[in-house]
Amino acid sequence: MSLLLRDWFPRLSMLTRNDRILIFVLVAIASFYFVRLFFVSNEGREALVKVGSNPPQKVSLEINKRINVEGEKGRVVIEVKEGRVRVVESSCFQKICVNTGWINKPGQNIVCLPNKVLVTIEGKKSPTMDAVSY
Amino acid sequence: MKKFRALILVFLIFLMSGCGKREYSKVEFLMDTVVEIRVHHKSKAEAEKAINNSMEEMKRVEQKMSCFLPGSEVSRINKEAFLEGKKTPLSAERRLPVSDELFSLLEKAVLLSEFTKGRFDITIFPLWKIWKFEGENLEVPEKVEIERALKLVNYHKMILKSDKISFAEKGMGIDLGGIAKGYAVDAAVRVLKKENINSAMVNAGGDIYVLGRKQGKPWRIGIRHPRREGEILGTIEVEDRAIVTSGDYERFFFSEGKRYHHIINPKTGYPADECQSVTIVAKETTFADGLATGIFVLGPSEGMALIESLEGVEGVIVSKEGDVSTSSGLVSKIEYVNQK
Repeated sequence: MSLLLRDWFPRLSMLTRNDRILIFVLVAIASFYFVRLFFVSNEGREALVKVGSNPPQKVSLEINKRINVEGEKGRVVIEVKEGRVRVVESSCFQKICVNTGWINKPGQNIVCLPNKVLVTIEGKKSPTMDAVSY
Repeated sequence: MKKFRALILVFLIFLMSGCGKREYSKVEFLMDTVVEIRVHHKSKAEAEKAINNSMEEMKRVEQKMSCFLPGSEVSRINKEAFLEGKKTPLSAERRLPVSDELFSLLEKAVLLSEFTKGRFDITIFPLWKIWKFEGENLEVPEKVEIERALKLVNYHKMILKSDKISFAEKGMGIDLGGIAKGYAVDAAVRVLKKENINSAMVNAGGDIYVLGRKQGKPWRIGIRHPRREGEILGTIEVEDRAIVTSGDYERFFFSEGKRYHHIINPKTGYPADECQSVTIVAKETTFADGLATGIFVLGPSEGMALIESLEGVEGVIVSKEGDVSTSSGLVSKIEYVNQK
């Protein structure tokens, strides 16, 4: 089997130098984005914490820590541990946020409505769904 | 020029492939829930302006329609629309003027009441007030209290005439909780359209409207499984449609071993127990919102008959036994994951 490109594409020689440059550039751009998309994604390694009407803050899930935030009703304590995040303590009444437990997958979230605190995992959401009606 | 022909062609393909459109989104706490607006658009500035304007529009609607904000138009109606001591509450000068916007929403609410034989009824306010699902002390009201409130719940006793409202009895009131979220979503979508956005999703705590298509394909929306938290009953593919679900799992409490949820039957005064959840797909979110609530109370068989009788309305009903029924127009668009 020939390994020469010319044998596979006999009309290759008709391409000009500029054509070759163009093809090379396109392939280079495509591979750059391909690599970025599949290998250098931040998928599931960062959480977003939103409190009230403030813009959401990024929190890395790589470093274990506890974060105290001031919600509408009082203090909410968020814990990051081994790539997961949860609400450990909240000044709300029903504790739905605390009972949600740990989350670590992109698109998962913890909501405390009384305190207006939202924790979501960054990254591409479930590829099969855009949203859930409930 | 010839030299660049290939380059121009490639550039055009790149543009047309839709790579030019990116997704922009924003999340806010509004209307007692989490509201997310997602927009696909080519310009970042335009997309962000459109998102901010439609969030502002939803805030405006909330200020106007909430019966819990003392300054809202609805609160004013609840305080003033019954005129004590007047023997002729029907006379025109005795009625309370209502803004055009709220008046047409009230008319829509009455239409929904007609469709659902009074199972959706915005005059439920006196009942809602004693169940106190908004508050922190959840308990079952006394039977006498419920009976007293029931007498005040009847949309026929809310008189709407030439942009004015009056209540026939003292203590009556309206609660738009069953349609206000849907209405706010529609209002947000109107703003997005005005800003030339043609691909977007507005999601107010699971009350969803999807505008256009997403990157050339219909949007895929999951329907929550009513008994398995975090799981999906199925998914539907939709465009330019509202999807709203009412379920008995959203707000509830236990009292003496019995579970009480927040969808109150305006005919009995107690939580409705015919369904686990009802999902409505319609052209308008306001309508889908009210229908989902009303049909939840109405029950599976009458509910499905109503869905089939309304044009442009489709739905999925999960009965109290967990049986799933799908309206005829949705059968081909729905993909079930966990049907039992």
